Amino acid sequence: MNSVQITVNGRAINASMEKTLLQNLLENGVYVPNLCFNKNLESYGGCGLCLVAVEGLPKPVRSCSMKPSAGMNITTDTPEIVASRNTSLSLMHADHRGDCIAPCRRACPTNQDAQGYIGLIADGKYEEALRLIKEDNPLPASIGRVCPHPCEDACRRKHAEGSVSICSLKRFAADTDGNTYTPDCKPSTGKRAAIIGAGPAGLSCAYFLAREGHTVTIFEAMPKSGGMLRYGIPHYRLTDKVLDGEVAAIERLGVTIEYNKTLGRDFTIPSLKEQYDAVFVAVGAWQSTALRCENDDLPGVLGGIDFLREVAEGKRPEIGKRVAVVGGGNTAMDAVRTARRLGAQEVVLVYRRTRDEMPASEWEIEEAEDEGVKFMFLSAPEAVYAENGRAAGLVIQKCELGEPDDSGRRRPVPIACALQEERFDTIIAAIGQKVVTEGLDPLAMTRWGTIIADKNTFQTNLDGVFAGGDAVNNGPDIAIQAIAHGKHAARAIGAYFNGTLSSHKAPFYVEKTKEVSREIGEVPFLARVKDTFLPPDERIQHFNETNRTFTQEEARREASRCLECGCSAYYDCRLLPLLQMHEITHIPLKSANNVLPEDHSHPFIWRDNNKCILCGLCVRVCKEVVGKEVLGFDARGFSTTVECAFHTPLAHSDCISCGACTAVCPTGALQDKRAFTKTPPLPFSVKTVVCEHCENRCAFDVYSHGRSIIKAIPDDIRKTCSIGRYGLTLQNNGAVKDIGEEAAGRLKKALLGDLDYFKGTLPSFDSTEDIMRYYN
Amino acid sequence: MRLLLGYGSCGIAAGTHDVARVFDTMFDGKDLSITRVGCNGLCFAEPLLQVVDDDGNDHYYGRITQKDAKSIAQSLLEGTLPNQNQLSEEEVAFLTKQTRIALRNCGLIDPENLQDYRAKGGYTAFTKYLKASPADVLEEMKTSGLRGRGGAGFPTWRKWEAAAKEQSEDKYIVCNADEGDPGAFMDRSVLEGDPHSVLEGMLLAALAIGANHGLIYARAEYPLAIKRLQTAIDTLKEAGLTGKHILGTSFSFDFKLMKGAGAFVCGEETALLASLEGGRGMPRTKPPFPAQKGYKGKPSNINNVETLANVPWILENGGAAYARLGTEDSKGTKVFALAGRVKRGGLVEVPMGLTLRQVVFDICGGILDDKPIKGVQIGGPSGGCLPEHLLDTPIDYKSISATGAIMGSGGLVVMDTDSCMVDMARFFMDFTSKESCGKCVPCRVGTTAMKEILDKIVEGNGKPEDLETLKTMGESIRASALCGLGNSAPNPVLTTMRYFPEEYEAHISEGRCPALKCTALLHYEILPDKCIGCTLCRRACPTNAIAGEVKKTHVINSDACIACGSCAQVCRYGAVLVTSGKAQKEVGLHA
Repeated sequence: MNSVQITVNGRAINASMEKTLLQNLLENGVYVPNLCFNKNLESYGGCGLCLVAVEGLPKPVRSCSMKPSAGMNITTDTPEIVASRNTSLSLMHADHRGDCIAPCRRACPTNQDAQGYIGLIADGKYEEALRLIKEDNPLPASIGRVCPHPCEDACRRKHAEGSVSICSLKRFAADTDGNTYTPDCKPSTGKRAAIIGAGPAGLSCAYFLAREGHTVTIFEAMPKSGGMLRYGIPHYRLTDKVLDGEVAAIERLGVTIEYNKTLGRDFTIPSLKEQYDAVFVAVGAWQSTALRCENDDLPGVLGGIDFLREVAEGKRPEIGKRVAVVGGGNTAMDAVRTARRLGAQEVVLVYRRTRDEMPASEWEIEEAEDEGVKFMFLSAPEAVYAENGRAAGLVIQKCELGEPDDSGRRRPVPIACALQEERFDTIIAAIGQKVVTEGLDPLAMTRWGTIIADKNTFQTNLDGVFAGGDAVNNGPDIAIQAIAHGKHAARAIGAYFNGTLSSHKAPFYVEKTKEVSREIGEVPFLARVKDTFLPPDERIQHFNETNRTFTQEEARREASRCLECGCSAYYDCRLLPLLQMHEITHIPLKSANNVLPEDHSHPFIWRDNNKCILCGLCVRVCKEVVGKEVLGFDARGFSTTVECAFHTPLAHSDCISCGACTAVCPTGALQDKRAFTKTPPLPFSVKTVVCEHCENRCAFDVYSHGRSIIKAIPDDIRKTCSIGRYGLTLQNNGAVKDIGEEAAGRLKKALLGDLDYFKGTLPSFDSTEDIMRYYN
Repeated sequence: MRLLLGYGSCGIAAGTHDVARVFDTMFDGKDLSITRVGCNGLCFAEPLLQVVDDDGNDHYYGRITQKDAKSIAQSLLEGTLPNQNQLSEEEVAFLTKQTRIALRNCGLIDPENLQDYRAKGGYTAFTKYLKASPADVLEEMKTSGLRGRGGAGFPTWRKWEAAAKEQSEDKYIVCNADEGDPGAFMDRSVLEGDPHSVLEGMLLAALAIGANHGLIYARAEYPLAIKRLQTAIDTLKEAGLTGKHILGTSFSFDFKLMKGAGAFVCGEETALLASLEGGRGMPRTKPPFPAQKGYKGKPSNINNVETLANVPWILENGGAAYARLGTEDSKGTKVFALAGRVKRGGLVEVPMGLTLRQVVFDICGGILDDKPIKGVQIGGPSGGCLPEHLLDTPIDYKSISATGAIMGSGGLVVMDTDSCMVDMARFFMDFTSKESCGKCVPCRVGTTAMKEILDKIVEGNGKPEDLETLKTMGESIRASALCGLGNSAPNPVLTTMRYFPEEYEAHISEGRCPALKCTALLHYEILPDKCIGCTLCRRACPTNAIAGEVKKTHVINSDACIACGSCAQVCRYGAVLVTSGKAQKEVGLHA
């Protein structure tokens, strides 16, 4: 009734004259981006995204403000409109200060949602934490022990008293679970994949493929799984037991591992290709790089990873009393510490630059020092000298530091005539590792002898053959990188199975600029929980683990230190998908470096103007739907912000806690507090329930993660009320039950919009837990 | 003999109060008296006295001091025309070359005196059409071809017709007196000099569309205009020309004057309505247009001051008489406010179709110090900057738009070769970015982004790709901003980029400001052969960047120098040399 026919992008549509053009277009499935429109509110026109071209009009119009008329001919994507939308979104992005995902998550190759699992740990939800971890990483107990944790380098708390112990928290979650969790797999797709190598890359790929319902067989050359995690990392850092448990969990998904099957001998890539729908090559880099000096092949000169492998296999190689390890990376650190444990009295690390340039992790260097390892810096082996056909020591060229090289580290420059002889019983070359190329000949290789794999899809030159881990492109890297390769390759292989394999692009996220990223505000001092180590003289006696897992108390305390950099609206932000879908140009804005204060005063709502895009939805819903005018615009031009009258904190305003504003906010500028210690972004499922707090019986969409309710939003914004919005959440999270009748009564009063309690005094409610405490 | 003393804000600023006191004292008890009138447009010559002799001839005396006033009064008392302070023939021609309709009474009547206005034919159109049908008014307006003088140039009769069609018990006529363009002051002048013409215009508009309320939204920065308007409204009421059943007809109408708090955007009609309603001055989407849903949701018609001031004349003299003036596309006359580096700045009303050159040179006498003209900024911050070679563009809506500028409300800022076009664009961008209401993203963030790029360029940190960014961003903002402020905000940048690309080039690739304006790109030094060691510059320097003893050559320490130019201003020997890349000039009073 009352409809007219209009043409949209050449298609005829019946449009209702009661609705705006935008509503008509959206209801007919036409893509028109918009952020400030809500059907219950007057049209606004702030975001400027819903522009369409109407034939006969001189310039694009906002479809949110126009009603259809008969015969209207509309185009939604003229070049002018596309360009203008891109500009508007770029501008919005330039003035949107925040991090979609936390720096720790960005820094992790596998994009592990550290903020998420840390938030859950802080709340005592260990099992949910582990489940979340396993969405990105199948080997958390192992990685939680061995990872050099780039996440912690990125952690913003380091600008206060020290980064959060993210890695140890992961270990905690995994150990607490003890590999009992087995994720669900999708129904079988009938597709079969073969994976060569059961190292971190291969296991990861197998795990993610299996979860998608594909059938996976891994071919492993060694008698056991784990690759370098087992054969390259000493037991005092990662025990077989931990690794076995995690591999077993992967096998429970139906992954088959065939051991002692070597590529090139037992099968070939073409033979696998014939039997399987896709092949993932993750053979690793198992050959030590030689010292490349005179006599480097004498007995008594060992390769670093060869040495570690022998020890891992339970052998105890004879290394004598004085051992040199050449190199400065993590393998070198593993070698020196292993050598100490094998009984070598003096272990010397020979490195051509200084400590500052060492690629090994700082904590590993410290632990090695504690264990009595000596360091010989600015020393490059010139030759191995021989006695009785066996290595007996090193001729060392002393160096000094010159200009920085490509890696940014200062280059060692030999000092003329500065040679010295050092006697060693064994010399271990831990200066690098190479891919064993046997059986890889069908694949295109780099000149460094690694497999060429597409950086996004991990596909090799052969159709259906993918490769990842240490064996590809830039060669060996840390274990989590291999896991990331496996994960991303699994997604690509899945796409290959569907016939939709295309170059995957890393998704776009809003990041705080350098200028504002250090602004962490005032953080109360809370020292980082230190790992507990065995004393050094005890730990060099054996290969047992050197440190223990956090206790629950330690873990919750450490998790509570998280600053929650990532936006808690990440999973339901309406801006981010638009930014990802459109072509955004980065527009640097000096004016946007001004960090605005957040308002945490209100018991159920918090406001962060840095993320506000001034769509005006909150202001309008408060006025037009709720009939209040608690929020309004302040100042002019770029400095415009949404504020309460006279800049009072929200708790002191006339707010009735109906939560309409947070429900309509398209970004993270207005958010609901939760009955958790932390407010991490969590993926959610939505279920509709009927609120039984009053006789109205309103329908609410309840957003939950696991057993935790994140928020409750009425299906019709006009039905919003604080009991429904926050009472449901608090009640269902079990937050209300223990506070006693009287306190519950007071809380109910607050939920009924009576915020008088807060007038006069200004308690700070950083979390709903604070509120509960307040009402207790 | 009538003595008309300019008593607009410009006159008062120039010292008319003091001059008036002299006249009042001298004429006290005599049969001579002065009439305080609004500005007649000769702002450059204030304080100004116009003597109309008994034969009706006009004599002009300008730049009157208190001392001058004494002797002028003396000779007037003696019955002779003073032979001092006379304006030159050329200066008088400034007035006589104009065709005055909107300004017809400005400077000629006492704005606070209803009889004065009526004596000039005021309210005859109103009383005549009070008994006619609304269609008659509309017809006459249609014939006149009058278009909105506030900037957009929408045909006035069509706007009226749209509001007339709406059925509503209450309808509003709103006068937009929120003149906000920097450099524009014609509306103020009309309100100060002839408020009744605006009120009568509103009454006539009310007849046409069936409105019963009149609202005037005037900016609070115009206290004199507000005072005179309020007086006019009050006297009108006393005279029975407003209120219920005016002159025994069924027509009722009342006026209400409201003050705006000075937001530029409130000149945009929907923002103005929001402000009138007591809300934040933010424009809203159209449709619905104010004619359908305006003030308090009622049909409303908004016209600018100058538009309304034309209406009584049109209805008194006939639409055809008005249409005889101007061009095919743009009828009638237009008032321009001239400012900047022009010899005779002030208000000029000319028929449409004259060229910019005729206005700047023939009427306003050309450029100060006879320097070469560089360009004209037309239309304020929303307008554009036109180069010398486009000065022959006829002034009509179509031709001006074709250049990328807009007619706007009629501000004309004249620039000579000392003006830096990049700096000028930056100034206007800074203005609009601060005046943006904050509602729509393209305007709020876009104008700031463009301003920051221009900041970079005038500081010498621009990059060639910045020009492309300015262009694409500017065009997107034009297409997607919500209201006129945002739509037109990029105009000054886009037009200067189009007409003065070499200036942008010089800033970006050579780090040079050809006009020697952008301080970050300037280098000051003292010429040893000219410096006599007078120490003036040393003492004037705010950062102590100049060293030198008496009678010895002074030296500027360029690390401490902030290129403020204070030294150049005080030097009497042309010993300060300013350079920017290859451009340089010796400055100082005798240079």
